[in-house]
Amino acid sequence: MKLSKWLLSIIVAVAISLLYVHQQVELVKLSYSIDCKEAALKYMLDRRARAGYNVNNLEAPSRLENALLAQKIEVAYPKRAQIVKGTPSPIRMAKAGAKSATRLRTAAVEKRSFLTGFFEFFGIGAEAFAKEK
Amino acid sequence: MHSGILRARQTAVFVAFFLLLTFLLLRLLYLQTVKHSFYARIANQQHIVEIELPPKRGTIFDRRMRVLAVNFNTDSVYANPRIMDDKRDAAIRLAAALNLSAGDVYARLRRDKAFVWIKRKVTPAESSRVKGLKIEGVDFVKESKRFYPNSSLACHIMGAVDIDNKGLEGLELLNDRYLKGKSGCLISAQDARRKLLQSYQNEFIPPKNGHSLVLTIDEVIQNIAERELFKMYDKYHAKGASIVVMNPKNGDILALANFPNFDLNDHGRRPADSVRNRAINDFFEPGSVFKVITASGLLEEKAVSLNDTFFCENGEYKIGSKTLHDVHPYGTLTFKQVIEKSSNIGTIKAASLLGPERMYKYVKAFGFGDTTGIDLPGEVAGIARPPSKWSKISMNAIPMGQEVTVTAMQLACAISVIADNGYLVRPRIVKAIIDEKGETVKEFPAIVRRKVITPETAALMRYILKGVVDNGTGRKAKIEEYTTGGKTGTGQKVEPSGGYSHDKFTASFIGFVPAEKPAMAIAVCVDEPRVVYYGGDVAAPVFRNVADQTLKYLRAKR
Repeated sequence: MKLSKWLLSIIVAVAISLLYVHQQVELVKLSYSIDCKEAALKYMLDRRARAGYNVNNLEAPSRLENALLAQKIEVAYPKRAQIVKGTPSPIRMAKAGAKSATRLRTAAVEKRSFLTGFFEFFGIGAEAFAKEK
Repeated sequence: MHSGILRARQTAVFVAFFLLLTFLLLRLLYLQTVKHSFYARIANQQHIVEIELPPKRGTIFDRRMRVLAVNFNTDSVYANPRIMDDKRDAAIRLAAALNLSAGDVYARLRRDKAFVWIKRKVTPAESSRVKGLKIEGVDFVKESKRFYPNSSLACHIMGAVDIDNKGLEGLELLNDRYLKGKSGCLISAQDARRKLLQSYQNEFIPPKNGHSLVLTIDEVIQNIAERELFKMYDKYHAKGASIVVMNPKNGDILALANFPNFDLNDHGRRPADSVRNRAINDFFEPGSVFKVITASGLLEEKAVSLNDTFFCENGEYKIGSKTLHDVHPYGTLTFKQVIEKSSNIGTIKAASLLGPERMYKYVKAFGFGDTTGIDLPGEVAGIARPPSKWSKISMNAIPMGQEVTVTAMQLACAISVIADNGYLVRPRIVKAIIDEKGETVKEFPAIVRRKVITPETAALMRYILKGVVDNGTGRKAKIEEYTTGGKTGTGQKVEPSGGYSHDKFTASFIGFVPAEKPAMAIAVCVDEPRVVYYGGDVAAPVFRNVADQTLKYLRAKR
């Protein structure tokens, strides 16, 4: 009896020790894994930074000018009279307000719902709508 | 008897082992308790490591958030001489791969150290060459390096950093405390191969990366200014040249360029005369561009009106023992024509109506003799002596831009006064400081320093200076689609032996565009152009080209 109690205690102590060792081994493995992943992250971030740098380099005005010159392409700014403003930009549309935006959208090639058409019929911009046939 | 001897031997062996065990237990007790701290310290030294985590230096952006300066990691080559066999051979091969002296490399490898630098922050090509050598004991470590994607663009504004990313010049120096960030710290255990065991991390303080700068500079306008300035600098073999493009309303510097310039990515090998920022470091006698100040003072004090006439002595005016000349002989000119045609004689006669005290008052009011306050290091104030220190002929010299020295930046600010209805603004290069997330940390608002002249006087001056471009010496500054106003200047340089030179000049043009509602003020200053040296011929075309292209670019942007 005494012997089996003693043996049980030893077995329990050994089991706990083994569990502790296993835990430590896993911790060390985790450390190595973290290390690897951090190195990979650093490498990717570096590559991203380099790619950004290369893009900036490629977009540098002086480099673009030299590239055009090398191809003997002459680019000139348009004169004031040559600039014709067309469709408003999306930013301007947003600033003009939702109603105006809606009107402009319906002026494009889109099917208008009956309700939209009904309410807009009584709206200010009714005459300006393009009818889709 | 026999059993007695046996028992005695048994006892002796037992006692011996008992004593040995006791000794070992006592020794163990001694090491674990008395010497505990000593051995724990040694163990910590071996297993616990403290690593400094360097911060990432802040980025520099232009006003449209285009990157002008950025950091990323590059390889630095180091060696562990203690584990190297053939150091001589390694030195020769490394020197060939890294463009270094074999002797220097060998001297480093002969040191009794576990770590010696071979070359820091190498190019990718050098790194791959060294990797290909596969030399035992040679390895790499990542270090952060500053790169400038546009090479030499705005080099005098950006400045430079040293090998440890510490600002040395320009904005890199002035804003180093914002850009550099703060190092972090990691205290962790390491294994026998010195690999970090982050699960046993004791302490982690993350690094605080540096803040970024947003400048008022526009990359495209800067490129336009540099291109046009270089064309002229090269054509006339000038000693130096500067251009400042400024928004007169808020003082934003849209472009600032100097020649000679240098490559920011290779600043260690730049020529000595390319280092300084001439637009703020160099002062010179401005010549006729200074007549803008004289004319502004006369109109503001109502000492003259536009149609007052002055006899210009047909180009030769004797004052005491000196004779003052005009470039072309003129008879009677109106005050407006005096400025348009840049008559020295007409200007001196008109300035005599102002007097020394009032002349000096406007010289100081326009900002001469003081720094402009631009956020760049090394700015000089120039020289503007008070009337108490003037000579008898100073009143015949200062109104036409002699006996006073100015910088290109001061001239740009002065013409901005005319453009901005009489207000002197402080020029600024840094618009804001932002953090990593893009949140504004600090903003630098536009500062109006003072009112110099009334809006009415400024309007009159704009009208006169428009006439300079339409009818006068500044015809080569005329732009097809916009009205322009400005003033030419050709200042004689002083010889080292004293007296004015007859073959060394500073050619300038200061102006604004459009003339009615100026959006831009530009100052172009050229040091010692050869063959042709008049401001109207050398500097005015640069103004025209830069203003024309910049306005078209701004129009297209809108």
